[in-house]
Amino acid sequence: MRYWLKLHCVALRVNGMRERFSAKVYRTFLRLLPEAFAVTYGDDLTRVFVDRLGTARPASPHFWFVWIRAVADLCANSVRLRKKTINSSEISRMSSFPERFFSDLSFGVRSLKRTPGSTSVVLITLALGIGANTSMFSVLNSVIFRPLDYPGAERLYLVEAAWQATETRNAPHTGVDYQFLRENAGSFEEMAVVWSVRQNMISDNGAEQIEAGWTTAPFFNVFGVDPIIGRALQENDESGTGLISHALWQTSFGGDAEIVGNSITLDARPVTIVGVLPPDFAVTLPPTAGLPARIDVWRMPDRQMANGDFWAMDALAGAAFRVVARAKPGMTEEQLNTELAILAAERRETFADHAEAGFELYVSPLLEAIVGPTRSTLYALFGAVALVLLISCANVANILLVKARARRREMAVRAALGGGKGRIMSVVFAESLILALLGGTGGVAIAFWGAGLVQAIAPAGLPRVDGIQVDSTVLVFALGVAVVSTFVFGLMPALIGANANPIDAMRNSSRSVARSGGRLGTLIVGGEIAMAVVLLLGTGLLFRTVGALERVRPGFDYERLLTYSVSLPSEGYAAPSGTHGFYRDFLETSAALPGVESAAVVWPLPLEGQWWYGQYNLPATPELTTKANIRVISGGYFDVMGTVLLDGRTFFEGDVREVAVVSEALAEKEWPGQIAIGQTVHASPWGGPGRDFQVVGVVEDVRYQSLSEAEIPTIYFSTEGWSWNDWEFGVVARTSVPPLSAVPALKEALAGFDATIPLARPVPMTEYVDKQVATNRFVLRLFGIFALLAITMAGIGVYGVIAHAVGQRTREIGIRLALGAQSKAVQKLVVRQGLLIVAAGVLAGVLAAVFAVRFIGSLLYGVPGVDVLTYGTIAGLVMAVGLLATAIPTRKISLVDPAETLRAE
Amino acid sequence: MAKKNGNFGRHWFPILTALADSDLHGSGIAREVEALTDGRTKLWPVTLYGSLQEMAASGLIEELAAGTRPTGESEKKRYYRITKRGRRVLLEEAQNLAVLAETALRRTAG
Repeated sequence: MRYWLKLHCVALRVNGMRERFSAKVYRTFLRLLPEAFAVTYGDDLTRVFVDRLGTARPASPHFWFVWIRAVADLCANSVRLRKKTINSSEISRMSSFPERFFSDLSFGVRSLKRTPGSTSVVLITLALGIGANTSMFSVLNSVIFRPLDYPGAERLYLVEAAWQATETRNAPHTGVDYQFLRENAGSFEEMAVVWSVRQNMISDNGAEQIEAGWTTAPFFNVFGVDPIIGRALQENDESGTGLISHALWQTSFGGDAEIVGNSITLDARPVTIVGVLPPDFAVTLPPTAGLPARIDVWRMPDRQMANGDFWAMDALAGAAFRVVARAKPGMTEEQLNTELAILAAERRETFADHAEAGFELYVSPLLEAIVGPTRSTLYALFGAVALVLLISCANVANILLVKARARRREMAVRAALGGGKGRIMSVVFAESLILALLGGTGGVAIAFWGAGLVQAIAPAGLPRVDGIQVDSTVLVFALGVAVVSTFVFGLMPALIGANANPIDAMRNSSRSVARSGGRLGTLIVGGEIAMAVVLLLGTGLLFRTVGALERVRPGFDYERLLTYSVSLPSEGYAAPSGTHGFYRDFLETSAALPGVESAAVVWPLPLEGQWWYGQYNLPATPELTTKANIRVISGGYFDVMGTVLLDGRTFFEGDVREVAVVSEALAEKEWPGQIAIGQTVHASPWGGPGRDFQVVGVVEDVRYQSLSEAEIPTIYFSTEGWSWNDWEFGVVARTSVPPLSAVPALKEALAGFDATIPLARPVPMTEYVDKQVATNRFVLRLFGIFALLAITMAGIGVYGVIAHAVGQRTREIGIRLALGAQSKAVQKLVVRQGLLIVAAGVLAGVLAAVFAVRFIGSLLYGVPGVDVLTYGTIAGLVMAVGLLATAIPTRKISLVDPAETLRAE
Repeated sequence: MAKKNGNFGRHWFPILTALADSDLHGSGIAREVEALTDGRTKLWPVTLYGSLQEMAASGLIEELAAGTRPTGESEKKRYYRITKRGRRVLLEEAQNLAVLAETALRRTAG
């Protein structure tokens, strides 16, 4: 204590709170050094340390690096300096360092074995804390930190458009804009189009619907991919030229080595195969781009479509292409955006519709675009799991603290007999090292299992889940966590042990020792409770969110509702009469099948993930500037879905005029307090100039993109006016049997119409609805696991502190009982003390949660961040756990025999 | 030769080199050594003062008495100066190393 004061009495000439704080902490660590050295050089050491720290920002990587190095420097040299002291003073002829180290290790093992109960609790606690953290880290590492699997992936950017007038971001490009960008954007090496459509492929296996990607020749340079067979696409390739995926090559062509030159038939048009892509190659774009995970054919786009050359279409309404670009080396995101801003301005001057839309261009680094949206979710989970680790560390610290205190006398005796302080500390460190290694190993084992678990329950929206694995980076992380957590928390007891002043420790009875150190234990346990409360509250709020989402009515009845997709080729099904006629007849036949009640057509399907936003206006304003959901449906759609028709009618066969049905949100927005029927909207669902549509019906709002979205105005158009070819349609069928069991009959019926048209992706609507809740449910499950771990460990912590207090106070309790106190009254006293700790923890936890809740704010729905019901329930639950953890050790009090305890002391 | 069985390795060489020019305090030595070795050798506090203590004990350097420290500098900082013996040891070792380095360069060049 004396030299401790000496260390502090010299004021430091350093600027700012930060340095002073770091210097203070560093001084605490100086206790590790031999006293003489620390006193002589304390100030100078601290000065050099502060100098090293320099201007490093707190918590920056450099800051931590300096800290870790400085502590390592302390620990390593503390041994060296001590060795010298011992050697010079010739107190004992010590053996060499390795021998001493192993003797310490074996002493540590023996000492840990002596207390198997607390040792195993420490190990299990550590393993769980480290395991949970390592699992989550492996997810973060694979999903967020790992670069994309393309060569030079850091130079890949997604070029997107923004339409300021409708506040649309992540917008696609027209073919004309892409070609303009490719020719004029000098800061990029290459740019490729990426887009996909669902098309029917006829092969020996029959007809199937596949995802056909459209791209351009630079694709192969942009992604840095080479075909494993054949060649890449070239600038002058015809539209019917393409490469197939490795998977398609294997399944449909049996891995035929002579595949090049063969052709496949996509929607009745031949595509010549010029190559095969590598097996592990896939194009990943953010979910907003709507690109499927697996694309089987990459080919040059068709020049001729039913409505003209897709490349020559310059109207924004026809924009569909995603553009991925490889920047020139050394270009920053800012430089790229500066150039794109100039190019966008040129486009606004060239095209009136670009100017009206407020056309802008910008890049996002591809990796950031893909993982950015999930980052906050994963960080929230990592934060949660870090709390679990803190709790387990706190528990370990508490247990080691109790052990150290119990051994103070042992240490004091050793010290009095001339045992060096360093020797005592090195024993404690050896113990910590053993705990760290064993706990870390257990943690890694749990992490393998945990990473698999996360992979298994991950929602479809989480990108790069397949890559989650426990690799060397993850192992290094686990080791680091194990060593840091054990050493930091092993340090405290080591210091307490080392500073045992022989005279003090021998003179004082165990009672007062317990009181002096007990305060620290109480604080630690209170903190544990607070952290557990934060996690439990998060879990509670997520639980309420999932409940609220499950109760949302999406605007239709999703039970017994089958969805699937059908795509008609332009050959034989000219739009609109050919396509409309087919659907009319096929729906009639479907509805007559056993098990099918009714069926209708819609594109895009609700909640399936595809979106179609269009613009409309009222006749008074000339521009199409108001954003709306567009849906094309057959007349029976609302009946099949159970969507309530609020006013007017749906589409009839052979409507004379051009008519539309609008959603309630649109009607209320445009004609509040008026009758919407008979009003006119001006829109251009198929591209080209806008036309007038008369409103004939108003329906309830449907949540097309997500269950938690606000109602977006929606306009429905009839399939009778449909004018695109080679395009899929969604079919919804209300069934009287489990939805999927109606599929065989429907397939047969479809084959009866046209054997070349497949029935694709039959999915019950309940699955799409489930997917909507999947992310929230995923986070809820993990939070639930973490919270359960947290409250269990915190309960153990409370139990430990109370049990220890009861043990330490046996003498006091014995006296109280001897003086006539009732055993029940004494028990109450102890229980009250325990509950006070818990209550303080709960209060701190609730206050912290009010802050912390914003980290999961984006995952909450239908429940306020500060929800009284949830907070009350959790507080009650934790108090109950606290009561249990206090009551069990307290029962021992009734077993205390006053005479026995007094004699023992 | 300098004390070889010290606990703090060969840091004495760059430290002596740093002190050969001027008297320095701890942070100054650390900075100078870092500069001399192109940032490759960073002396962490305990390593630094452990070495300095050892070197002073071996008579390679001496700690300046409070009165002889450079003016205008904090009285509280410890300043170190290379001793005559230190200078001789540094020179001998530098020559040894130079011969060794020359041989090594010649042998690896072929």
